[in-house]
Amino acid sequence: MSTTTATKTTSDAVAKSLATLLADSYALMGQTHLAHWNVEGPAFFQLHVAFQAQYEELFTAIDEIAERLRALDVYAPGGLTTLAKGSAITEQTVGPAPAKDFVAHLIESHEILVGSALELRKASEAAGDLETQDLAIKRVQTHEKTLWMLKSFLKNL
Amino acid sequence: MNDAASAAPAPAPWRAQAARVVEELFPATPPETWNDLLDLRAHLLAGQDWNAALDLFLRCRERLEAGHYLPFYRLRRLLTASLRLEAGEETAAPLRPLAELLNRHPASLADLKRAVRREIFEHALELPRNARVPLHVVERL
Repeated sequence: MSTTTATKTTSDAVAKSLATLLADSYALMGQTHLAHWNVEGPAFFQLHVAFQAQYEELFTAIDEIAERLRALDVYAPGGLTTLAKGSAITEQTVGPAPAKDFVAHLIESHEILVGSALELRKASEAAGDLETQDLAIKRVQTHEKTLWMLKSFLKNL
Repeated sequence: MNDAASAAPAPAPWRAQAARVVEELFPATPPETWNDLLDLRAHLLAGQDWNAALDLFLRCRERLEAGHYLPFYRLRRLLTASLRLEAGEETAAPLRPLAELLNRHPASLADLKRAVRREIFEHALELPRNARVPLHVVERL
């Protein structure tokens, strides 16, 4: 009896963390798209292309995260309003801004994603859900790699 | 007086976060900049004079931002979300948001205020040319 309750609690924690990761990833994809469109300056071509690669990777990841929720028999949250409410990522003001600000904003957003993915890793480990844990680990790796790239780029702007 | 009664209240989360950003600059910056960074950290943690805090931020940024863009971006974001510029009641002209003013890269608070006063005079022709419009940095409440 108590084992069943514990399993339900840990599964709920996994579903909640997956939903948060989904919302944060969607928000980051939107912010990366915004940066892709609005970045200006001498680094335009490099950043425009790099941001495109990043939001395309996020698009694929979002699908995998949502489908993992469905595999756990949980409906995936969707819609811009719902996902925005579930995310801690802030929106960058639209208007003229140095290219460095776009990069810095995305760095802060990827840092939030690392935190969300680590929460998911912890919850899925507690639930003994290795498949979700594997997904979480891959997301941590991807966001940490992107952080390294963005931070390196910022040093040379 | 016991410890609990004499202990200073914990700083607001944004202040503590900003102070941590400044702390991360110490190992990466030359020692001759540390006095200003220490003063900035103290103002962020427990200061009440936001004019002095913003002036220190601008002066530190002027010296260090080229090699440390990310920490100064983080500080700028935290400061502009929590502070605003306020003019005297006689000034009807709306002031630009602090974020926009900081994007113009003033080297000091005096520079920033000079530019703002110039704009006020351009838009409020009824003000006498020698009027000194008071400008203060205050915390958003």
